[in-house]
Order: sequence, then structure tokens, then C-alpha cells
Amino acid sequence: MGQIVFALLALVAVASALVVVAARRVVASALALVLCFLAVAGLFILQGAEFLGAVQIMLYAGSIVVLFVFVVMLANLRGEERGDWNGPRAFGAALLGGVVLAQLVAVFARTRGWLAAPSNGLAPGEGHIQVLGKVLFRDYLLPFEILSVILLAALFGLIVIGRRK
Amino acid sequence: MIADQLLWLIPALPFAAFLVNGLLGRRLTRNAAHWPALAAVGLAFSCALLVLKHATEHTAWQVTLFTWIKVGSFDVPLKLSADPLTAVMLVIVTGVSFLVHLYSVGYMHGDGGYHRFFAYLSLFTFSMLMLVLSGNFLLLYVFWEAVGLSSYLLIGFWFHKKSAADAGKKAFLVNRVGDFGFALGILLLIANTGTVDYQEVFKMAPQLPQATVTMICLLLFVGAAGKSAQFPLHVWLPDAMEGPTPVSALIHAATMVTAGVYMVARCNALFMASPTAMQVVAVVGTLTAVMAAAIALTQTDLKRIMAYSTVSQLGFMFLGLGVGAWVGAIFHLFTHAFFKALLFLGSGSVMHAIGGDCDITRQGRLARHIPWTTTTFVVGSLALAGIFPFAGFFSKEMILGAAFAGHHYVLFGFAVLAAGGTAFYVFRAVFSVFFGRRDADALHPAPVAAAAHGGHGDAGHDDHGSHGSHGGVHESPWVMLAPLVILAAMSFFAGWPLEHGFGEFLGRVLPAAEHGEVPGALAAEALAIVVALGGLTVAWVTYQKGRIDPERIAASWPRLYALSLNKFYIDEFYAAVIVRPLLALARGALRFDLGIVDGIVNGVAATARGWGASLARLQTGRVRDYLLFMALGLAAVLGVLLWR
Amino acid sequence: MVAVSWYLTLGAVLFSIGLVGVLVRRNIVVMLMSIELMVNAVNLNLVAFSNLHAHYTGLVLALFVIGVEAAELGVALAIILAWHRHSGNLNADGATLLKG
Repeated sequence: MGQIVFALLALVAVASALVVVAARRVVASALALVLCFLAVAGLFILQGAEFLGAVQIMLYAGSIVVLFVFVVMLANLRGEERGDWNGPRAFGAALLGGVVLAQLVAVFARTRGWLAAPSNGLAPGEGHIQVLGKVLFRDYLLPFEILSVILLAALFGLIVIGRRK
Repeated sequence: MIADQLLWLIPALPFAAFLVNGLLGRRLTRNAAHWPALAAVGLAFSCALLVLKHATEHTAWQVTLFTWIKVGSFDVPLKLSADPLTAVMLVIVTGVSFLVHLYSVGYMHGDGGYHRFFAYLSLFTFSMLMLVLSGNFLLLYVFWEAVGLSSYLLIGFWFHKKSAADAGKKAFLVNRVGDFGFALGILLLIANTGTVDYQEVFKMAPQLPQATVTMICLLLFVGAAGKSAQFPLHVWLPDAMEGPTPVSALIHAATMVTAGVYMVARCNALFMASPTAMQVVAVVGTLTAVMAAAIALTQTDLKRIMAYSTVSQLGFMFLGLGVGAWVGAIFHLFTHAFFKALLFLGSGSVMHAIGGDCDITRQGRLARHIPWTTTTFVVGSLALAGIFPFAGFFSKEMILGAAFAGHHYVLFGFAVLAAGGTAFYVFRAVFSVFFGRRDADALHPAPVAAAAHGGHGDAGHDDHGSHGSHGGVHESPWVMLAPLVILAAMSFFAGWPLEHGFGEFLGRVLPAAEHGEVPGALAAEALAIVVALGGLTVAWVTYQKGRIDPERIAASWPRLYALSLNKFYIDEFYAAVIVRPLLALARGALRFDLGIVDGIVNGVAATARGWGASLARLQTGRVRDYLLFMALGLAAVLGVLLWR
Repeated sequence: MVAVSWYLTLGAVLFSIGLVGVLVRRNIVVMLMSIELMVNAVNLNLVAFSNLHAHYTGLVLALFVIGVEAAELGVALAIILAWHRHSGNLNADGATLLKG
């Protein structure tokens, strides 16, 4: 059962990713991106990282893509791009992508063999949030706070840059 | 010891004058440049006389100034040495130099390079004095070169004129050939004796193997031949007449060219150890004497005649050295210095009188205009021709007598022939210029053209004599005549009274000549006198009386005449065989340097630039391209990781 | 259940697709989106490994990645807006001041 779900989600993710990359219109890319994020969120949940999946939906699918769409709208684009996929450049890039893919797979396939492991690897009885909560405010407190500062800095930064002079 | 101080003082004085005139001449001394020079040389002359006096009492002494080179066991100090031979040379050099300095005050008056001239004269005097005073071969070589340099500077004094500059170059280059042989000789000497000091080398000379000594002597003689203009290295001397006449008198008559003779005389110990070398010296000397005399017969340029005469007389000196008449050769050097300097200065005076023309066929009957010049010139000519009782007679007799007594009959015969030729050509000049049947006034209408006067300041092919202000043929100023008179007096008095004393004086350092009573010696002497007088008479008959027509003689033997007139085509031969191939080689080398060497260097630069330009094309400025490179890098790294 | 390697493979595929997208597309926004794809693929891998080792480190890391990504995207989009105001289009090839 889990395998079917996985297969479905994987398919959706890959298909939407392809659309993001290949679509003619930017808005179409944006929408496809949402779909991809949702599929990935589902995969997170499938693996037992529920909180992460929720965060994925909230942040990525929710806010970030919306930002993208805002920008696209503000830029007032027709949204039609031509000719990116023609020519040697695209062919070369596709080839390169294929090579990298093969290499990446080879990396983990060769070193450890085909890995089979429990998909639900967290300690039974503990939910994801409990684990994260414990860890975030104990072992990873400093990075957590720094992340807040980063967000603050980014906030300032984007206000300054995005200002109309 | 005062004598020691004199040794370095004598050359130091002209050197100081050189520095003064050379460095400050332009600003300070300008037209008074002759004062430091004259003072220096005059003082040096007095010191030289003191040295001479000292040398009559003590035979030899040395002064070491400081250690120059010290490498292991090779020790070369700056050593000055004096003995009777040196003393004689010192007197000659300083004396003639002083007279030439005095003469130049008048001759070079108004020249733009006045101070430069006196600076160079002082430099030359210094170099020649040091050459003569050197106590070892290395020092000798250094000043040998220095003298050559001074000669180059003075020959090409009017460097704006191409012919003068070329003549200077030619002199220097031909000298270089000789110097190369000289250097090889010195090196061979060092290799065989381990030292360059005169005393030590001469002590070791008899112990060296025959072949080695011969080789050394021959190489040294090559150097002497270059400096003293012997065949085949004589070609530079006639061209050197491009320089001012006082230069010709000093350097190319009395002093520099005699350096070769001096050197061989100084190395008598080496040469005596090699009869072969002495034979070569004598033969080359005789050959040169005859050849130069033959050329002088047909030349029309007064200075050229004198130049070839110098070459010829130097040949006599070498003949003397070669047959063992060491004292005779030096004595001839002594007398020749005076009468040849006189003849050159006299030529300058003649040229001054008629506005710079040297061609004897364009002059005549100048005697009545320039009596002083005429008289002194005739005295010098009589001395050159070897007529009794003038000085040249005695010195020539010493050499010819020794040749005959040494059974070198063939050489003797040729030498007598040359002597006859000498008398002929010099009086040919005398009669053509001062007496004769042409009239100079008709050929040179007075006043002398102002154009000739324009020679002041630079160029002037020795048309330095001209002063357009006073027209007509006129006598020279007293500064120019006084030296002439003094030299004429020496040419007359230096002969008979000095011959005996000279021999005794120099006999202390030079080996005596063979003197045995050979049958016919008296007849040989008489023959020489007769031939000399004969030459004079023929000249008189031809050029004064006009009974023989020189043109017809020239036409009867056209090929001989051409050979003589064209200096036996030696210069042309050298040009074709040596100069042109060398120039072609140089051009080839230039092409190689420009094309290949520069090509490689430039090529490397161009290649680097090309690669740089090509690589710069990667910097497109486009982010996507950079991303592409990053991705490629990623793939590469992954690939490397996978390989391991 | 599903083998971890499948997740890793999926991650690799998404990463490659994102990579191709970044290299090929000229529109800056789409390039940025492709980069997001790649980051997501990384997150997927992190979670998969966390699963494999039954340890929470990967999860925490993934959380932080998401946080930092959010910040970065904000700034990036602001830049894109500024760029658009400056040049009137969103063509990445227009930014060639660093040429040569």
C-alpha cells in the first residue's frame, strides 16, 4: 500500500518538476511548482516526518510560491518564453543533467548497495513533533536563534533592495 | 728617490691635462685649452731630460705603484721601469709632443673642437708614455690599446666627415687584428713562463724550447706589424692622413707607429733566442720598405707621400732589428722621429699657405713665398734621403752596414733600392711644390677663396690652413714655424755627434750588432751614398729641369704605374676577400637575430596573448554560462569520486 | 515498505531536472524556481537518510534548510524586482557587466 502511494507521489513530483522546467508560460511553471511541493510534502509525511511535511506545505507551497506569483505579476510579463529549448545549449544541458543523475545514483548505489530500510525510522511511540521540539530547543538552540537573525536580516535586506527609489 | 718619483710624474702630467681639458674644456678653457696641455708636456719633457741624465749613471730602476692583479701565483703590479732605452723614448715622445702641441696652437686655431683636440693629444701622450714606461707585458698591452684608442679619436677628429670617421674605424680595426696576435703572444708567454714581468721573462727566454719562442716572437711581431703599419697591416696609415696634420706628425711619424719597433727592441732577449723570428722580421721589414717606396713614387697627395714614406722607414727599422742592429734601429727611430715630424708639420705649413690643398701637381715655385717652410722642409728631405751630414744618413748607415756585415746581401740590395726610391720621391715632392717650372700663383689666384675659410669649426679636409682674411700665399705664424726650425736643427745635428754616444748609451741594454770587418763593407757604404744621390739627381732632372717627362715614363709602363698608383690594389683585395664576406655574415646574423631570435621571443609573447584572448572569451558575463561551468565541475568531481 | 534507495533516486531525479532547468531557461524567475526544485530534492534526501539511520539530525537539518531558503528567496525576489525595474525584462542574459 505504501508503495503505491509512494509511486503516485513520486510520479506527480517528477511530472510537475518537468513542467516547471519546460513550461512556456511562467505562471504555469509557478503552478506546477506548487504541485511539486505538495507531492514532496506528501513524501515527507509518508516517511514519518509529519511536522516537516506541514512546514513544507505552509512555507513552500504556501508562501514561497505565492511570492513567486507576486513577482511574476508585478513584472507584468506576458509570460511567454520562446526558444530556450532549441539549440545546442539545451541539448548539452540535458546531457549534463543525465550524466549527473547517473553519477548521483551511482554514488549511493555503489557504496552501500541498494538500501532497504524501514521507512518509518523514528523511535516508536514518539511523534515527529516531540522529537523536533526536544532537539530544537536543546541541542540546536543556537542555530535556531541564528536562523531567526538570518530571517530578520533578510527582511531588512529585501525591504531595502525592493524599495522604489 | 727623485728618479722614482719622476717615473710616475712624467705620464701623470699629461693625464692631468687630459682631465682638465676633457672635463672642463667646454666651459673653462675653450680657446685657452693649449695652456694646460703645453705646460704639462713641457714639464714632462724636462722630467724626461732628468731621467735621461739619471739613466747615464744608473742602468735601470723600477717603481712599483701598487698591486694590480693578484690571483694565486699570478702577480701583476703596476710597475714602471726605466733604462736607457726607455729614457730615449721618453725624450722623443715628450719632445716631439711638445713641439706638436706648440704647432697646433697655430694650426688648429679657431677650430670648434679646440679643447677636445688638446685633450686627446694629452691622452695620447699619457698613453704613449705609459706604454714606454711599462714594466710588464700586461701593462704594455693595456696602453698599447690606449694608444690605439687615442689614434682613433684623433684620426676621426673631424667626425662629421665620413672619410675621416671611416679612416678612424679602419685604423682601429686593422690595429685590432694586430692586437689579437699580440694578445695571443702574451698568452703563450704566460702559459710558458707563468709571468708577465719583463725581467723574469727575459731571464727565462733562453731556456724555452725553440719552437715556442719562435711562435711567441712571431705573434708579438704580428702586433708590432699592426701598430707599426708593416705589410700586410699597413693599410690604415695612409687613410689616417684624414686626421689633422699635427696628429699625423705626432702619432703616425714619431711616436705611436714606433711602438712596434720599441716593443721588439725591448723583447730583444726573446727575439735573439729565435733566429727564425728575426729573419721574418727582417724580411717583412725590407718588403714593406720597398713596397711603400714604390707606391710613394706615383702619389700626388703630399701627406700620402709622407705616410708611405713613414711605412717605408719603419720597414727599415724592422730590417735593422731583424739583422741584429738593435742600436741602429732605435737610432733610426730617433732621427726619423725628428725629420718625419718636420716633414709632416712642414706639409701642414704648406697647406696652410695655399688654403688646404695637398695635391703636389697643383703647386709650384712656392719657395719665394714661404722661405722658412721651404728651408726646413728641404732639410728634412735631405735627412730622409740619407744625405751626409744630415741625421738620416748616419742612422740608415748603421742599419745598412749591419745588414751587409751580417751577410744578408739580398736584403741589403733591396734596402738600397728602397733608399734610392726614398730620395727620389721625397725630392720629387720638394721640386714639385717649392721649385719647379709651374707657378702656384697661376694655379691659385689670390686671395684664397672665402669658401675654404668656412672649413673652420668642423669638417675641412685639412683645409685648416686657410685664413681667408689674408689673401695669397703666405708664411705660417711663428708658433708653427718655431717647431719646424727646432726639428730641422735636430735633423741636422742629431746625426754625427750623437751616433757614438748613442751607441754606447743604448749598448748597455741592447745587444751589439755583428761588426766583423767584411770585405766590401766600405764599397757597400759608398753604394748606398751613390744611390741616394742618384735618386735626388733623377728627381732634380725630371721635376726641376724638365728633361725627362714623367708622363711618358708612366705611359711606357702602364701596368707598373697602375700598380704603384693604386697601392698594389691591397685595399681592394681586402675589401673583396675580407670586408665583403664579413659584412654579408653580419647581415645574415642580423636577419637571424631579427627573424629567429626575436621571432621566438615575440612568438612566445604572441602565443601567450593569443591564449589569453581565447580564454578571455569564457568570461561572457552571463550567469547561465557560469552556472554551466559549475555544473560541469560538479560532474567532473563526481566522476573523480566515482573513480576511486 | 519502500526502500530508502528509491527515495534517494527520486531525489537525484528531481535534482537533475532542477539542474537542467537552471542551465537552460533564460527567465530569472524560472531559474530561481529550478533552484527551489534542487533544494527540495536535497531535503528529500536528508529525510531519507534520517530515516535510514533512525536519527533526527537529517530532519533538523531539513527544517533549517527550509528556513534559510525562505530568507534567501525573499532577498532574491527583491533583487529580481529591482532588476526588472532597471532593465524592463527578466532575461538573465542581460546582466553582462562582468563580461571579459
